Amino acid sequence: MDDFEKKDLQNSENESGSAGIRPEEEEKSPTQVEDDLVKELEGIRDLLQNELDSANDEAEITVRHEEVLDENGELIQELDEIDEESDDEETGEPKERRICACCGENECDDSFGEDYPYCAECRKLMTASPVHVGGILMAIVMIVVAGASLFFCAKNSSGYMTLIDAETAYSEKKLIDAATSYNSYLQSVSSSDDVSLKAVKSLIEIFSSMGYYNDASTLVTTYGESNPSIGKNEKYSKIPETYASFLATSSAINSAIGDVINSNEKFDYDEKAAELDKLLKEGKDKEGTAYSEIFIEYYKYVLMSVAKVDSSKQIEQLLKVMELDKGENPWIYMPNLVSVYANEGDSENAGRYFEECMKVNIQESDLYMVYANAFRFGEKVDADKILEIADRAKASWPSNAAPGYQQIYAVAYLLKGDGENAMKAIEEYVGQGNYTVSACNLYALCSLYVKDNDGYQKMVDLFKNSGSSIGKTIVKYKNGKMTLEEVLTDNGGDI
Amino acid sequence: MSAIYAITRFITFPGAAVRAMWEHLICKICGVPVEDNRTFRFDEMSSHIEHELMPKATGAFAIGFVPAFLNGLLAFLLAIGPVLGLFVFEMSGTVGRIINIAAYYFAFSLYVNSYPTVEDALNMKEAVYKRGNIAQKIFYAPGFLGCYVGAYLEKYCVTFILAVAMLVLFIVK
Repeated sequence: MDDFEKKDLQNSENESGSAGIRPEEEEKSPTQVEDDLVKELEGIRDLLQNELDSANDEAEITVRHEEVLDENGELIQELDEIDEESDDEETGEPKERRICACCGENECDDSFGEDYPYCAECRKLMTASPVHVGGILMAIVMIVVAGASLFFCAKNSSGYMTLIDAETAYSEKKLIDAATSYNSYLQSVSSSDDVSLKAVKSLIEIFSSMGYYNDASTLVTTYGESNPSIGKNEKYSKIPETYASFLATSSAINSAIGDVINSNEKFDYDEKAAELDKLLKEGKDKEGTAYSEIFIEYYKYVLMSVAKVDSSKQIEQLLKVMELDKGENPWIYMPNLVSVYANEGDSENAGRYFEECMKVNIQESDLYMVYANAFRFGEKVDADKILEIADRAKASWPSNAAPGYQQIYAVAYLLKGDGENAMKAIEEYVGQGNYTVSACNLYALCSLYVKDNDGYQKMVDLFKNSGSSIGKTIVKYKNGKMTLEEVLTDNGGDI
Repeated sequence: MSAIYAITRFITFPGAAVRAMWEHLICKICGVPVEDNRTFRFDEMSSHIEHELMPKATGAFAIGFVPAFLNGLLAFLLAIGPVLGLFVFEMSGTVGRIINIAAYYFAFSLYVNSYPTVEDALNMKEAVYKRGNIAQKIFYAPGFLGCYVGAYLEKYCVTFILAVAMLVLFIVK
């Protein structure tokens, strides 16, 4: 204060000329001197006030810096607090500087919003931050792997298409179609190293369920060694052993009773059955392969069938086989149960076992005809039911190649008295080259019914050329000794 | 929950890295600053990058939808081969099997890491349905719905559980 006063006074003295000498005209009254002094003091006060304000401003900024950044320069104050402080601006106080939350040095860039926390420089750096190389590399690796995977997929695509057909057929219980497609796929695979194990497994299942143990066993031994899911599978690994057992049993049975089964000679059932019992007691062949009890018991039924033993005993024997088998090999006895019951005209039991067979394979073509017999050999003939069975048989095959269903249609139409459609159906079947005995007899019968003697004669000639003769019941019908219904409903007949 | 979420991100790290890359790329394309580009962290932002919210409808939609779409597409392409080769037809070839296993793992990781953060999904909702025009509201609706639901599913690791369940189903079947 003193310095300022002296300085000011000195300045006044300098401005007014030499020190201590006052010109006469400047001589002032005491009032004037007092006024001047007051003015000078006011000037000094304003100067000091300005100095104080600027010092305060600087001090405040320093304090804010210290609050925002700690010793290591890291951010310790939340943006909210800074915002709260900035709210003071609204009160009319001078606008405060907001520091970048990233670098802590520069002022925030308000052009991106009032409370934008970063400075322009940091924002620029953030926008230009590089993408992680790891992410890019990973994406490239994925694209390469996707390409390789799709390549393998495309390479196998034709095989996949065949397999899809096979899978579809298998899921629809069309085992013949499924087996054909799976076989076709396996034949098309060049390397046994890259093969669909699902196809192999499905084919093993199909062959086993249809009784083709030879083929099933071959698949297990071929693919089982290199693929544990087949080779070490409990179910599949038993197949070669079962097949060997069936083979040994079959061979032993053939030695024991083959002569009577393959000839029309009469024989004593009990005597031959005793030979089968002997095999059962032996239990195994010379090489130590165990005989299959189920197979031996089944052949007792075959003997009964050939010896024309009472059908109730045949059924009893088949039920015994079924009990022994415990559902493992229904192909051995189930179709025979349908046949025996159907020939007895027992449509209820025949239908029950027929449906059991259908659960496994709806393409058991012969079985439809066998089951249809239940509705013409029984007490009540039901042509509509036979037609229904024919429709099911037709639907079980993808094309008109379904074997045998035309015969069922022909029988049903004849029973209904519709000779035209019956002839049409059997013509279609025989026209496909199916010259079986029953089909030719049926053709001859239809021809007679529609009065087509040429057609009848054609069949007579066909039998003659093959060294046999047309069915006796057909001849009787021709000679008027039997009615059409009698021919069709005769259990021992030719159709 | 954050810890479980983060662990699942580490398990499925390839998909997480790729998703973060897509997000980062979208941010670069839209000129949006990336505040934190660490992909793997032990919190709910793991496998995402921390970026400023997109103010415009298209940008907000893109940051959520594009990574989800690209990851989903890549996952689909990767899954075709393994699903057919490994699970449906059980191909026995060793090389093909190794490639298919790798492809399935990548597809799995991409699917688990396909959806945006809940924050991005909410921003998408705000930007599209409050600031967007009518065409954007209609056109972006399916994508928005998928991202919005997916964001919550992913937040609570439901996508991971679904992917594991699907894998188990394939193996058991």
